[in-house]
Amino acid sequence: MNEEEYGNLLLRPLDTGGPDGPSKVDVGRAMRDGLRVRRVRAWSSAAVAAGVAVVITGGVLVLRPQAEEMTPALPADPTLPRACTAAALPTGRATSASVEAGDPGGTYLVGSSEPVDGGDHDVLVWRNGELVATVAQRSPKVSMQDINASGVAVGATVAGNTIPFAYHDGEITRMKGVGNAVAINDAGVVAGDTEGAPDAARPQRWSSWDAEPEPMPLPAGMAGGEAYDITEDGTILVGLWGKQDSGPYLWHADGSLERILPPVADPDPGKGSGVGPIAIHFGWIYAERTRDDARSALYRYEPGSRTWQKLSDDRYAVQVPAVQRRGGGFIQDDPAVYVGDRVLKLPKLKRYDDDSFGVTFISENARVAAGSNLSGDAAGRPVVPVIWRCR
Amino acid sequence: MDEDYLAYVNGRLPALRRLAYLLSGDRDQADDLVQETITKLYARWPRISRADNVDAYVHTMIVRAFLDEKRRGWWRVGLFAAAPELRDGAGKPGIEERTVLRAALAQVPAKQQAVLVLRFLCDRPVAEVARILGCSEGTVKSQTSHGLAALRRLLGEPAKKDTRKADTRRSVL
Repeated sequence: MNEEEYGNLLLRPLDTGGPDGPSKVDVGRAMRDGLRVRRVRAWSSAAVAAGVAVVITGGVLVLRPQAEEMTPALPADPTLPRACTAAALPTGRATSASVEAGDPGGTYLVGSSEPVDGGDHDVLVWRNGELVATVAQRSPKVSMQDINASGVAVGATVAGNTIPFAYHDGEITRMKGVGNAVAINDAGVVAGDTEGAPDAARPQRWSSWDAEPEPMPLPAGMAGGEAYDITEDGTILVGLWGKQDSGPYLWHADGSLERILPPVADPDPGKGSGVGPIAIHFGWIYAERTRDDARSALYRYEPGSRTWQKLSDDRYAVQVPAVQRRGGGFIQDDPAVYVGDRVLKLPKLKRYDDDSFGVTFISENARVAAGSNLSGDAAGRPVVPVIWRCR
Repeated sequence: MDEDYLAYVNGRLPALRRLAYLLSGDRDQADDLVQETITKLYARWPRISRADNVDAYVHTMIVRAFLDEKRRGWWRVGLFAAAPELRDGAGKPGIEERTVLRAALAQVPAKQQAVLVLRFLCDRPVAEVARILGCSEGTVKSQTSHGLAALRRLLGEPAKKDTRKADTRRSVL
């Protein structure tokens, strides 16, 4: 019996037609939701006044011409490490844990124990690869999404109403306001949004984890948005949407908003259908450009010179660490992560023959990366948190 | 334009649900995959509707939605929870056999799972499976071999022969 015959014979018992019972599929809802996505994507081809920034002056949105001078040179990428080693991070009493993020210098990592639906979700903090805190937060359970060089982490609830929380001084404390906190810089400024708000999510920021949130005024035509990352100077990467228009923006520390226009030179004109922000690394904004064939290309954008670079036709070929809450992660058999515009292949931490890896963090000097080994084929296997040290 | 979309979706809905169900093995998750797919389809309909092979686009979207969901991890939750078929049809001939087979298939890595479903349950040729998954035909063939080997191992079958009716449940459940 050849393989074709064997496969047919083996699997044919499952060929029983479609699922029984009534369908939950709602075509009307698909059209309503799809229409919104259509509008979101329309911005990339809409007639946008090029070279215009939206500025908030005294609470009023005005447009101002962007500076014509493109003075800044492109930031230098870190050198690609020559070699990396992989090691499992300690998990204390937990049998399973994942890394969610780290600070730019690679000193602190933050993660969750039993990171599955219904799992403990204790907050774990590592310093230089050593487990320094395990904090249980049971009601509600939370997940930290970022940590800074002072060891202060921010995140939000993992289920139910979305409420921001911070980890500081060994404790977990509810932050003021509602929604989530997705990023914190070394100065302690926190970026997030009002995810779950009854009207619409919109970006917000906190000057520190214990401050009142400051909502971002939305420019005309925009109805909502969400935050993705924050730079050390307090610039927050956000994605905004409205009925007719949407796209990524930079919310600067001084309150001004700057729109990120899509790549002008599209190598595949007519097929690009939208740009979505991912994260900020090495002074660049990483973003994906979706296409009509259900694939996404990966780009990066340097805000000082407004330079776009295309990195790959396949956004899911190499990892770009990003806020896990945004669905920014994926797993792959052979872990690889971007360092600037180059690919760093990471060694596997072998556990099973079907090991798969998510890379959720890389330091700004590319000497520390972290993530998890998520075995691909069994429910009972633990998630193993991994640190890669490179030189 | 909307009429075209409605005609297409309504005509294909049973087939889409079947594909999603074969991939996920769960009625609710299958409907979620279809819902996500037809939402994306509507968003892109003005362009996709002009394509030569809309079905190929849609099948690619549904398989990718399945693989993305597996990446996100729902499969870790309740993989061995009571199977709907067993609940609804305990005692019917073939039900337990399918449940055992389904549980084993769910443990095969996602991409291999998709290859097996597309090749042996949807009867798609290797070249088309390669296009759907965005890989080479050689990869599809190797993934087929690996997937079948994994299934055989999970089912406790020693060799390529028709042992489907052997009592292999102890090795899986």
